[in-house]
Amino acid sequence: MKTASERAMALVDGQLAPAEVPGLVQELGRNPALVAELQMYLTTSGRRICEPYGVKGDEPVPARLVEAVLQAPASAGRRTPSSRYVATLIGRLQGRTRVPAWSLVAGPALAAVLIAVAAWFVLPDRSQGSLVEASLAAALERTQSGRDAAAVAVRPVLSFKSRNATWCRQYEIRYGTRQVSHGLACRTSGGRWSVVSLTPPGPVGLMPAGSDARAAVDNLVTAMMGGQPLSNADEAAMFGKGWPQL
Amino acid sequence: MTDEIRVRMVAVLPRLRRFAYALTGSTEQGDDLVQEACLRALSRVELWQPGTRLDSWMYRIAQNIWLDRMRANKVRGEVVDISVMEGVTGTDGRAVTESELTLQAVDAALARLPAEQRAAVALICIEGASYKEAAEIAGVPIGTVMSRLARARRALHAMLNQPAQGRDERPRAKTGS
Repeated sequence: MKTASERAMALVDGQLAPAEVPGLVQELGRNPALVAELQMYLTTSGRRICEPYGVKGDEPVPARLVEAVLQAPASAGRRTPSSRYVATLIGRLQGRTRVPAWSLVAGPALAAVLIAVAAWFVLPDRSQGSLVEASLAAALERTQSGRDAAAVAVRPVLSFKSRNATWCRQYEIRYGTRQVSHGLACRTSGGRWSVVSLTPPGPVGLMPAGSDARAAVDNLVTAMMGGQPLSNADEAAMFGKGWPQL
Repeated sequence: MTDEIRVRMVAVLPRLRRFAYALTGSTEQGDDLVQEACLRALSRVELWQPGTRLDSWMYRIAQNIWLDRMRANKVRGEVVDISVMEGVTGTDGRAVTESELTLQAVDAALARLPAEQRAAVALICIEGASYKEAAEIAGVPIGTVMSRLARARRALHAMLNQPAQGRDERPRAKTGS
């Protein structure tokens, strides 16, 4: 059972059930102490408390944390062929194994593109977009191509209008200094950036021409692009307009 | 599967760092907490249920590690960094709330809350979790989360509005709930 004070707090936080609002409003009208509580909750609302912390969420993530996530051993319970792929990749980076470089990326990249193309045409609004976390969406929303977003080292590469009449952005995600993923995201009708393709992390600059993950995403971009890429000025205009629906 | 989880964990890192910073009040300690949480998550990755929120699972792991540390500190005796206390009483509190709250002021006030209340503020006010999500992460009923949050906000309001005090009159920080 929530107290009147807790219901006032829930109202400020936008978490009070609509059915409870009229009763609380009536109670506020006859209880000045509750009004004071409401004011107290307003001065300690999420927006006011969170504001100073915004800068912490925008700071670049230290490479040691990214590398810890990418390289730490996972429990044996869920090791898959794909996990072995990452282990092989890391082993190669550390000079412990000898495998053809093309084999590290070509297979996963091809699979990623095929799956992405199928998903793009069959499910145009992939709202689950498991890899589109808030930081990626923020980076794509307002970062000029060629510049790094502060968080997660997301670098948009180019922007374009797709044949499906949506805004799309090609991007890179850099994990520390040694690994990079290449991706493509398009804006849904709901105003979210949904990942169309994201390659597994691969080493920076070690892939032979024609077989690298970037080329796979480039091909996807070429297939989907319905015109010229946006210029810097066009992108800046989109930042101001919030990427309006086409 | 593990590769996808690793990539998704990387995407969660900025928010997890902010949460850890809110808990610990220190970038260095927060990053240590994040690293430990990630390593623990990877070592138990089979416990994560696909289809559930990875970020909530990682928040829960980080919070549990931090609460364990706080309880251990309480047993061993607390060490309070005097610099953490500067923000609350080093300026006129009324002026702080009437203008923009500073990170230092909020940090200092959060540091004086009991651990479970601090975690509730960090999850709901800073990370934007719903009461239900925060309850799931903390493993307690929603009512418990709401009462912790209400007490925390009452205390924050009082701290951020209190007039300046001399260094010798500063109250001690609390740990534990």
